Amino acid sequence: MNVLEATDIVQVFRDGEVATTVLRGVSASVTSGELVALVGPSGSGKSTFLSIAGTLLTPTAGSLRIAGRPALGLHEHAVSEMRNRHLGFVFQFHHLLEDFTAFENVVMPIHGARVRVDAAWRARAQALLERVGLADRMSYRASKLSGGQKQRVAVARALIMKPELVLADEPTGNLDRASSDHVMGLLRELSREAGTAFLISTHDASIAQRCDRILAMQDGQLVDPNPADASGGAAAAAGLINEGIAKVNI
Amino acid sequence: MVFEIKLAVRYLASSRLQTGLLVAGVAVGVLVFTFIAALMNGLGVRLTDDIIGSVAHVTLEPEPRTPRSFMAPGRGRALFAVQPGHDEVAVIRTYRAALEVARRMSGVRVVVPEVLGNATLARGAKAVAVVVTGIQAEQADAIAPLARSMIHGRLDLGVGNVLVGASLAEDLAVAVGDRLILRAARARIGPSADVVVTVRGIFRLGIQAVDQRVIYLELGAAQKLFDLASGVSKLELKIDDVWQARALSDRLGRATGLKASNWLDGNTRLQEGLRAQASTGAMIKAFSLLTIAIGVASTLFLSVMRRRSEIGILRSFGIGRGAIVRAFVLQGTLIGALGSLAGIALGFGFAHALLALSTRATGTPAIPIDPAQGEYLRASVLAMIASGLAAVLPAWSAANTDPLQAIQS
Repeated sequence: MNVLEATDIVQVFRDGEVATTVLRGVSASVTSGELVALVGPSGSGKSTFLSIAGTLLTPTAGSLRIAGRPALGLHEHAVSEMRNRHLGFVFQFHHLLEDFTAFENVVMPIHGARVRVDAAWRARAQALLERVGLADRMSYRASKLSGGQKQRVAVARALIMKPELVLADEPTGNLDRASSDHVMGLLRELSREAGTAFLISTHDASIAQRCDRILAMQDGQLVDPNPADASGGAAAAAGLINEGIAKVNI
Repeated sequence: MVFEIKLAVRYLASSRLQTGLLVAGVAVGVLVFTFIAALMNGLGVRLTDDIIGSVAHVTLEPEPRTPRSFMAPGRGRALFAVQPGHDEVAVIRTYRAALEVARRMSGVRVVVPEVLGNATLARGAKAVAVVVTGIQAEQADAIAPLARSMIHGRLDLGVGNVLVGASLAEDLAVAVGDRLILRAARARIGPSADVVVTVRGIFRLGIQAVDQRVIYLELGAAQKLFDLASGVSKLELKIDDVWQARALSDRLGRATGLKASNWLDGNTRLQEGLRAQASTGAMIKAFSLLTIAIGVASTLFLSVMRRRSEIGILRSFGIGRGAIVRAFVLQGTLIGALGSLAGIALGFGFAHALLALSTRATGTPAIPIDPAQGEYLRASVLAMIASGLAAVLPAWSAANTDPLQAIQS
């Protein structure tokens, strides 16, 4: 089942007279339980596509279906509900609420569903925190956690509502190699265990290689990640990643 | 709502210094509000008491004996039946029926029949024109606070006793126990018209005209002095709510058929003064509330700016605008509540301290502040409303945070 179906997505940003086309007819899909990397240089439109896929941004043109349901043209309340029920987010910067504990941060999306945080939800939150290796940090304030721990809390928070799709924008971008590997391993396992699909935007070639599939984006368009010559495709993807890294470094 | 309360409390608790300053700001605003209320209300009560403490709130008198022509107008010269003079004693011949009507009317505290007339009070060769007030002994203190105004002797209106004002006593050089001769102004000339009275008490009401000219006599003695049989000059009333005097006076006038007057009609300047004072107080109170609102709004705006990314992430989870608005309005209201409590305590304490510090040896405070009239409940409710309303704009700004922009920033 496709948890994400984006068809001919166009995004044009206007600043007065100046119009900048960021996405030029992007079509992509992600199926249930799939781990997909979205690679490409900075400015290629990865983050914009991720924002549209997360219903945080309405595209200029195109259609979008999340978990089989149309996701565009909905009332704001319905969009909020869709985000809450079907999508999870992990950002480069964890965006935890610093004044709340790790546990409280994980259960935060439950409030968005307007349901009571009962024993079952609490047990799920505890299980997720244990799963990400933070059983002993549940009652710690987010401000007291390390960067890697915060990102793992963010992963647990993204999964609390059992979403079909988690959108991760450079989830390991601020982490050292060890933490980065830990988080990616976690995403891989959680994807397999719960059947949750992950769409991960990254500049990191090693992370992209650990995904089931790579979507490569350049100049607002997806380039074919699977050309006739498979090794050439991988090489092209790696090239895009390296180009992205180079641009970031510049 | 539990989530919103939790969010509001946690945000307030996490910025203790900022919250403390905000609460202190609200407390000072409430302190100013309650202080001004206690001062203005206290001043109003003192002024009102000074003016009406010694006079009747409503007076019932016979209709004035206006000259009445015997001939219809336009038919030549008129002949008048009555020529009123300054020493005319207007009389309610049968006052008991009116007295009962007045006593039974709701809002009336006490009804006092009085005889009023001009007389001469003499000691030896010295004679002074006085106004005699005849009053029942048991009601001597009902209209003017004679009991607490006695500076010599006692409040005793027994047979042959008289109470004189302090200035009059000085004029006549009399003391308690001295005997004087009293003669009604319209009495027949001769020794039989003279009444010998004994000074039983000397009072000082603080009203020069009264202290210098008025003497008090027992009602029966006054009736006899002015030859009124069982009639009285007027009925004087004290009522529960002095500001209802005009309405009650109208009702009493209609019910008794007597001419009714009230203290309000004779003190328009006092009312204007009190109104002006109330308006000034209201303006100061309004400004204190405005200051509270501006303080709360500006600080919460800063809080919204600081927490923009957190608000954005909450919105991305599907937490609605309503919940964000409620969380920030709750913060404002909680600040208002805490500030109100502190402000009330400060205001109450400050008013009491000021009252204690300004009280003279006589027991009268130099600053007419009344801590009981600080309008504490009103101040706290208004401060909470002002704080809550002040939070609406920042809350709306927070609720309209674009999650994408907030997260990207």
